[in-house]
Amino acid sequence: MNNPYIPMSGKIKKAWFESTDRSLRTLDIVLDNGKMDFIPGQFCEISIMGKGESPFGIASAPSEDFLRFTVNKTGYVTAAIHWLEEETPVWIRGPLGNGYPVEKFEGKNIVIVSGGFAFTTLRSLLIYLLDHRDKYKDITVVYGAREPGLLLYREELQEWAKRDDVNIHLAVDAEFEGWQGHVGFVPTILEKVSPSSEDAYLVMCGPPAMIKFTLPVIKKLNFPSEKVYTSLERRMKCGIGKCGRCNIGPYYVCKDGPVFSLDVLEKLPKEY
Amino acid sequence: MKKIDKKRLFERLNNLIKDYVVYAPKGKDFGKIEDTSEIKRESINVRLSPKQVFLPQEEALFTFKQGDIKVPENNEKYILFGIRPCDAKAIALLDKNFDTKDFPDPYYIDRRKNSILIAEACIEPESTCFCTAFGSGPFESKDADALIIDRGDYYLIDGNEKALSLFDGLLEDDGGEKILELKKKAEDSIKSPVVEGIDKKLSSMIDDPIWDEVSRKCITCGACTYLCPTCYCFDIQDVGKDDKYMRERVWDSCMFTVYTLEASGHNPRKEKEKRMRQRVMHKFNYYPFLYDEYGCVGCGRCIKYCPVNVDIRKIITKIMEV
Ligand SMILES: Cc1cc2nc3c(=O)[nH]c(=O)nc-3n(C[C@H](O)[C@H](O)[C@H](O)COP(=O)(O)OP(=O)(O)OC[C@H]3O[C@@H](n4cnc5c(N)ncnc54)[C@H](O)[C@@H]3O)c2cc1C
Ligand code: SF4
Ligand code: SF4
Ligand code: FES
Repeated sequence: MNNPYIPMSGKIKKAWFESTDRSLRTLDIVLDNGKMDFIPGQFCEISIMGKGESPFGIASAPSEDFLRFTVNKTGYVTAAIHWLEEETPVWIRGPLGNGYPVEKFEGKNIVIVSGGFAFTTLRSLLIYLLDHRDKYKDITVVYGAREPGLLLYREELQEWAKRDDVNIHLAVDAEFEGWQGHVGFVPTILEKVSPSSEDAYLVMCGPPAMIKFTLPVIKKLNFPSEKVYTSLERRMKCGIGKCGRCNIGPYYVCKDGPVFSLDVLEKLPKEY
Repeated sequence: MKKIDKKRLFERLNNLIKDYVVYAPKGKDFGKIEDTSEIKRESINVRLSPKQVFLPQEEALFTFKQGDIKVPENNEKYILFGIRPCDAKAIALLDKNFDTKDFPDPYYIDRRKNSILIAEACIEPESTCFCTAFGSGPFESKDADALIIDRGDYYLIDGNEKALSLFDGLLEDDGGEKILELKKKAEDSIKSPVVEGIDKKLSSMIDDPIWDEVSRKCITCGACTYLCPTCYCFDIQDVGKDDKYMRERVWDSCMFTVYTLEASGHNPRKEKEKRMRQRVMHKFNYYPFLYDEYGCVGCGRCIKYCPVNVDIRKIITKIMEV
């Protein structure tokens, strides 16, 4: 019997501070026993032995040779992760959770809306969509942060912005020296860009305040609830639907999520 | 049904302790015994339930030393003697969470598959018992490997081959003894609340003011969930120092604030009425949704041991009256 509590060993190949305020650190990890198969939107539990485990969305795409995570320093385990240097061993369980319904998305226009460091799994999704470009119609990205230095994966964003097969709209909250993108909050920019909801799916990940103010815009743009997906966070332990803590109604965020469509969430207790 | 002399049964059980880890009621709690003379009940059903055998209060998932992970081995065989029919049913419910197709839990399953459950019928149920609310009863045998019925100097016994073979050579003909009346008397003595349809009803009661009302006196101590034979929530923690660590799982409770507290400070179940709602919803709405069975077996422990007399039967009745 496969033991789902035992992590796999790996090594950190690269590690750097992702944001100018050093609150976010990105790790590129290679597993000792070969690549992991996963779907964009799934997550892993990273262990720091002696300190504990925490869940993190996979930011790399299945086509890449490494597993990428971007970790916000907020507590015990995340602080320990920030200390990790290149070439140190790490322990990982995964992939966990359901992931984005990339097959359902086939043949449709895709709109990605994100704010702050919640862009992690959306990087994975975006690269996946670009890897299978002919299977999807228009791809639009609206991504904002408080200031330019807090946008994740800035160099890649610039590269994608140059492509003509994807519409990238980057935004910062207020004017910033040298900034040439949009200025304003994500909901405002989304309304300005106004992507069509015709034949489209929308995927949204961001902090609670962004989600709250973006929802009315999404309704205004006529996206039906069943075509809007978001990824939820809850305190987790087992990650496999056993320990009981991450439930919303009868569903476990770790096992049945973290990706849910709005029409499912609308029927559940607001326990997130 | 067969009949077995009590003295000879206990002699046999004492011999079996060489090959099996034997658990039985030991006065206040259910626990491991070294000799059958320890078997004793302070009440019809004891405080700590048999769930501890399969989901111990704390257990190592693995140890970690100098870069190596070691999973503890367990080849023990278990006999659970004298559990109550409600507790046998509770174990069947735990199986649904731990013995799943997607992520079978090896620690639980290894112990469970090497266990023999011998339940004892409740001839005189307690005032807190309400197993009959959930289609079970004080003489229910279906979730155990064997059921024994106390007849003074002997037990009547019925069960599967696995359980009966433990007592090879000791089983006698029951002489056609009838237990129907005994069973009916026990069943009739139980006053159970009506639960039919409570699962459907709860689906529309998420925002009902009832949760505030039924949780007002709760001090969120978690006793109800620790003692509940069907509650299985656990935490995972690392303990140890230097370069030797152990990853442990320990019982946890949805009645605690920290249970769902996130690193950001956000807590989706900060208010205790939301936690009480979770406990009740899980047993009477989510469990039926997932497994078509209620997640409560009516053992009455949470009623008996709640320091402020929160009574789940009254909560059930209130819900049914809404
Ligand atoms: C599916 C999912 C994906 C996530 N992806 C990312 C990501 O890509 N980048 C990132 O920075 N953060 C992510 N998080 C949040 C991250 O898991 C928490 O910030 C982290 O667990 C906090 O751990 P800590 O030990 O530093 O905090 P402490 O407050 O010290 O927490 C102690 C323990 O509580 C649990 N815990 C606390 N908060 C959370 C939480 N929000 N979610 C889950 N468990 C929690 C963990 O078990 C943690 O070890 C994700 C969470 C989930 C559920
Ligand atoms: S035992 Fe009683 S007081 Fe303690 S958490 Fe349960 S209901 Fe509340
Ligand atoms: S909820 Fe109370 S009565 Fe029901 S199984 Fe648990 S402890 Fe027993
Ligand atoms: S994290 Fe344990 S059930 Fe979801």
